[in-house]
Amino acid sequence: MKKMLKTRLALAALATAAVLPAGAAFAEYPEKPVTMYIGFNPGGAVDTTARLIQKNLEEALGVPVIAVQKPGGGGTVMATTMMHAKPDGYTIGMGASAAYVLAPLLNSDIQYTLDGFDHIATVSYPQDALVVKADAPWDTYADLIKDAKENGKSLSLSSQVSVSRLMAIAIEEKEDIKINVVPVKGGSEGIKNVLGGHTDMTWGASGWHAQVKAGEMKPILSLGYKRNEDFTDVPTMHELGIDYAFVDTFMLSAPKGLPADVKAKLEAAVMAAITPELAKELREKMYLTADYRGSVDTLEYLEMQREEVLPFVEKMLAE
Amino acid sequence: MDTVLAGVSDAFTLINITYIAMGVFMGIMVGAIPGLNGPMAIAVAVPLTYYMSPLGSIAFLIGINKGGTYGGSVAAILLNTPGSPESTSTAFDGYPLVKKGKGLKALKMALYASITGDIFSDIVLFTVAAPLAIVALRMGPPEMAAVFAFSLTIIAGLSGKSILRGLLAAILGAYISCVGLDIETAQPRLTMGLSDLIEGVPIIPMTIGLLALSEILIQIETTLLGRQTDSGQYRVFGKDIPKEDRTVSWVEYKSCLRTIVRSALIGTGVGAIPGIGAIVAGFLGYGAAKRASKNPEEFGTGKLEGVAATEAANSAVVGANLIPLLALGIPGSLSAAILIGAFLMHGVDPGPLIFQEHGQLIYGIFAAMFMANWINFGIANLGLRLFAMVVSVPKGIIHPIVVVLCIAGAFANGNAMFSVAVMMVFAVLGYFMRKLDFSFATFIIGFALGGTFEQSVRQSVILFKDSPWTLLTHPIVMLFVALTIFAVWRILNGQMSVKKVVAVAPDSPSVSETKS
Repeated sequence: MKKMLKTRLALAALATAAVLPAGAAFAEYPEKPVTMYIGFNPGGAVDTTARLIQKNLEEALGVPVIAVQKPGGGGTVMATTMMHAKPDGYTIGMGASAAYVLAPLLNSDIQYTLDGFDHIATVSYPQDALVVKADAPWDTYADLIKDAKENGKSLSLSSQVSVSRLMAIAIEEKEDIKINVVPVKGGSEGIKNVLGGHTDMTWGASGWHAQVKAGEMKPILSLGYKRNEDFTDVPTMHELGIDYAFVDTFMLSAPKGLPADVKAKLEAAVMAAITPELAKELREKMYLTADYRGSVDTLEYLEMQREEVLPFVEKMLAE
Repeated sequence: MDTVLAGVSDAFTLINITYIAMGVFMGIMVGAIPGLNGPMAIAVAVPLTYYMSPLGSIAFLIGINKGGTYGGSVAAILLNTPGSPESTSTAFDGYPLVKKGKGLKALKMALYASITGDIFSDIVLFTVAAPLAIVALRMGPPEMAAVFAFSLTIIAGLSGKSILRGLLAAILGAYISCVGLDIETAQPRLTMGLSDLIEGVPIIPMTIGLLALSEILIQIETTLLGRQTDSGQYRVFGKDIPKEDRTVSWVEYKSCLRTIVRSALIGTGVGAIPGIGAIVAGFLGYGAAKRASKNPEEFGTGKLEGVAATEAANSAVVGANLIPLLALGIPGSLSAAILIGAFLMHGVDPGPLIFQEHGQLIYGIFAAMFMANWINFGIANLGLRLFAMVVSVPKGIIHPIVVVLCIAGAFANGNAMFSVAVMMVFAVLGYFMRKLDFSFATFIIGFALGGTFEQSVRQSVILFKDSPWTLLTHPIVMLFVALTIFAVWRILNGQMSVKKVVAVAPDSPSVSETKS
């Protein structure tokens, strides 16, 4: 009796396998909760994006989405952990493009490249700016450069991430001035240094908006591909004739080898999750701009980012 | 004034009081459990607050922070396993007091000092946050470097019996703080190719291993080898323990008041300046109390003042940490950074305009903080009797539980087995440090200050390499440089006279009480 049952089961399994097309094992994806790693500490912009989208993703997928914090290394710790997870769609990660584009170029300890993942979709990006103190003698980028050139002044920049270090290299090269890059840990230390008059400027993707609104700081340029939607007076670096731009875009990725149908489902879920209400919430609370891109476009976007920063990375490493 | 009153009355709702009480309770529990700590609890609790009102959620989180800071002292005193690195030096005198049957007294002193320090720094926050924040802003890289240098000298007093071993431990700590990305070149240093070490050695698993697990290893070893002279179970209740050993009298509290106020000032100063941290505050408070004492040799043998000195200092950081956050929009610590996230989630942008735009909310938070102190006092007072029972539980039951908690706590840091491995490595290191009488206090200080000290020195070099003489015009730098030189001179002098004393009386009683 037992044996018969076993045979029957085996037969049934065989039959199912024969009838269903390839990838059928995942046909019912998702059938259990999805784990979403968050590559940054709680309270930050990436974390908030992840927490806000979590509920909508649950609705779209029909299963719980469990958020697990994996902070560290600007998203690289999460990427490294995710890389080793099973590509079955039950482990996804909310990270930022700098961890995929810049980190592998700059850091020899990083074991992956941006092609080592199946990127699902981009979600949002922050509004960034190079800021100076409100009572600084410069109101615009042109003022700043003119002052530095005419008076032979070297400018100081508090820099938390390589994005702004590369920006300094780009400006130095274009304008033939000297920028002393002061490394800081955390964007808030850069803001403190500028408010306290310890460095001339700092670049940040968060934390500066409230200072600008309060009239304590002035934004003078943005590294965006287009102008910030809430600060439209701030020119982008491209507009100023410098060939450098970088937007640390928040995105969902998965380990390499995701079955096509699972990927499509996740992609659709993210698209559905970014509702107009969510976009409004992101913008009002965190000055984030919702920005959906499907998996094909995301990979293209990341490759474009890599192309654009590569010459500056080479200069930085040569220094 | 209307805003103030409106804010205060907002805070006095049953639901908010419930949230505060929940937060405080959670904080105390998490703080009291070795391996778990306050910042961890706040991080876990943030998502819970998304469904609360802005005032309720901030009050809840601040409650956790306050409760957690006190709770950390419980495990430090009762089990000699500090629940968080801030309370490392609480154990120095707390645990010897337990051995003397004065566990309840130590717990109460810790609570009173903690609450006093907390209230002190809250009052500073409520009254002079704005001017203090402006002073804090003047602390640029060279100022910070000078303050760190001075802090290192105060802490030299914690090096234990041998100043040489203390220094070696501090250097080892500083060396380990070099692991991770170099801040200037962004290249990995000493990471051995492990991408897990890019951010450096994580401090939470490290301290869990070094402070808690290594102590448990020692205790297990003593029990197994039958070296223990007593049962390892201590009594804190019972009619045979005189009342004065179970309570802190007004006279005793008053005799510690000087120390408490000094520590509260130190803690408030540390909290108001972004980037120093509560860990250093506890040690600074202890070191300063020892330095100021007429009988410094009594510290480490079960001196009530030692418990008070640490707890008042590390609790005073909590309120003061909000000074840069509320006055400038700059977080002073990890907990404060997490609070910013909570503010933002509720549509409150912490920045210079927060008092104008959300004045009512801020005054509500102030009222909630004040209430949280009293709720903390009440809950802890009830709880400490319960906690104190832990010491009468056989160690055979306590030890495995603590080991599991340590592993769980380490794992919760980054949800990774790597953190557990880090904890294990440092547990072994801590075991040998305890055996060989190397001070883990100076090790932790070396680690905690090493990274920031290096960073501020290198920042200063970049900023002042063309004109180093302009540093002479920075008054804060000059003040702290002078203080540092003075302190080093005093230490050297003290060392000489100690040597003379030792030479005269080689049999002077040593402070081996803490080593079993």
